[in-house]
Amino acid sequence: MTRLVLAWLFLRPVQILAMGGVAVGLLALLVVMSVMNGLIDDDRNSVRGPLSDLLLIPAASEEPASWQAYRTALLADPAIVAVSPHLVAYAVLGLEGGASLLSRTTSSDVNGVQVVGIDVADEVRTTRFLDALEQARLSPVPDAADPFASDPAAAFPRPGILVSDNLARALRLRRGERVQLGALPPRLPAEGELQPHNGYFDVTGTYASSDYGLDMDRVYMRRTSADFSEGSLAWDLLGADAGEFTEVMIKLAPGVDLETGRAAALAALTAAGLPAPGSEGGGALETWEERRAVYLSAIENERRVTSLVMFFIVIVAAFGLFATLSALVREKVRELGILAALGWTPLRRGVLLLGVGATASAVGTALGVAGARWLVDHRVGAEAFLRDRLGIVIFPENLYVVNGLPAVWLPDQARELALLGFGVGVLFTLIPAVRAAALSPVEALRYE
Amino acid sequence: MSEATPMLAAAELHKSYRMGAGKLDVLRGIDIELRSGEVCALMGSSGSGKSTLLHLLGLLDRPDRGEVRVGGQPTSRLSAAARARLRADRIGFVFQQFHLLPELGALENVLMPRRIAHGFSWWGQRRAERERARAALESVGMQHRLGNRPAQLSGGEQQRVAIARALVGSPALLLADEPTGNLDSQTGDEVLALLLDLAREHGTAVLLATHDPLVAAHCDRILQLADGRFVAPADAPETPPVPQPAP
Repeated sequence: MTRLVLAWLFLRPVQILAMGGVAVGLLALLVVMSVMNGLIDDDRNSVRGPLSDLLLIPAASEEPASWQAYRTALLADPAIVAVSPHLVAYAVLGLEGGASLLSRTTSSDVNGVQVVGIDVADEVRTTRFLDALEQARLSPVPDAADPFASDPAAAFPRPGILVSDNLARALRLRRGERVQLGALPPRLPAEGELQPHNGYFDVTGTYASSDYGLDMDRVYMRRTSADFSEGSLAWDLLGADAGEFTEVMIKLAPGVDLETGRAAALAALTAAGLPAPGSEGGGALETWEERRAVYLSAIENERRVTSLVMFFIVIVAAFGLFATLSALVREKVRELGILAALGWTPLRRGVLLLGVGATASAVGTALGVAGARWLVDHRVGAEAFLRDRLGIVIFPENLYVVNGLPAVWLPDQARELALLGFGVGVLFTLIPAVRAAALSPVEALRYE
Repeated sequence: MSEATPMLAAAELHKSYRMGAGKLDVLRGIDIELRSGEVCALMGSSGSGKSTLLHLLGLLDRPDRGEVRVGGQPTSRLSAAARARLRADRIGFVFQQFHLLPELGALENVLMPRRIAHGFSWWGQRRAERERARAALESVGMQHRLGNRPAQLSGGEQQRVAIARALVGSPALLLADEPTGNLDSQTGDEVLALLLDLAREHGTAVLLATHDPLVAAHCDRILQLADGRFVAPADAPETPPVPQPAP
């Protein structure tokens, strides 16, 4: 039977064409999915932005939360390798010419900003803060280890703040410019009028994370400092009532998944006698994926829809296989009659056709997977070829914020799609196989 | 199977085909018995039902009524698969159109019935089958064309390969439908002589459909089919006179 399967498969050019159809369909599917994987990885990185693995908002308690207590408790667990405190306040940003800026509807919304006080060394260890500094294009800081250091040449330096490239571009800010921040005090006064706190700050540089929305809203400055000389959010804007921190970024050890890390952090807080977030005192302990759940589910949905649409290519290719196998049955009616006369059972005749279809499908699938893998591995060359020889630019730089053609080959995904493609191919050979099995030997022998 | 049991027996075989609104009765009550080693000619004009009868006796088709027994075994209630297995085990066919598989060489064509009868076989058994197929081709004088495909062989050579294929499994029954019909007279004579010699050598019962009295003259007895019935008794003193071959 093997000999006949191979003969019927490879001696017919149209059958080879059908195999090619399956191969091209699967190749297209796998390449597109790999590019989608690459783009999604890029998207996930963008969506994650400056977030750490876990984000802890401590539960409220009667005593102000002590950063040292939290730090010690969390770092006691080996699943956690770094923590960084954030002191967050909301402020209005003002600058020279601000009145005219406020009158412009296109830029008036940029004046409300989130001011995040950080400890630089902890932040660098815990999040991608250093990357954000290094990716700045407009006014990169001279020293990433001390990004809030004022210009030594300035006559009366003020505490430093970092704004994003995007915000700086919108407000035409440069390194060394002075801005004013105004914020409400952390606690409402028991009596008397509510007096906002305000202060002057110098822009010491810019940063660039991959999250446009966050960039437009967020400015960084020192969280606190031991004395007034260095300047900080606590001392220079919020005042003495400010707590030590409002949020904790948590970095997990390599290989620790988010759920395990969350359980470890909770256990560490409980063991240290600190209030567990999420209980009566409020607070939360979230993974970065939960914080960005809406974006991530949109991305995942995009991937599912693309898979579904692309899989139609494989189904169309399988139709090609179906058509050629149906033609094969018609073409080989007499041979099937001869085989019946020689003693082949209907089942065996069906299996013969199924064998031809399954082999065609398997060869097509194998070629498709191999071709897709090769193309993904050599995508840079392929992209250059298309651009240089044919003038086709896949992702024009002026339209897409993508460096080259991203692609990620996921072996499990490739295996699943290959099996699915092969299965569809075999499924589409069932009808011709049943027809071959049901042929009347006499009619087949008489067939002209 | 006892000595007295005929290799092939059929009783009251009826077969008709639908022709538009009506039906065409092709066979109308055929009785036949064939014993091991017996060579019988089945004669009749074109359209008399010779091929239909061969198809029924070879279990390729089912009668509307009547029973076919092969080696004493009734076949009317057998499934299509069981009938196919019985064909593979006990029946060989030689067709007018040769009906070799065009993609396979002569040796592979002859091997096919052995492979069908045995299904999966180990290497040693496959080697033995190959030797047997080679010997069958040698017995029909085709040992020098083992790898040739049918398209590379003449009509006579193709029919020799078909005879080797039909006899390689030593079937108890050989059904030949106009085996010399597509050959020139000299080649036809050679092929016929070969077929009958080998069948007698193997003790195979042969039913040979032909409309050529010269071919029928080589057989032990002649059955004349006309209008869906045998028109003379099977062991026929009444069979039509057979012209003598030209000197």
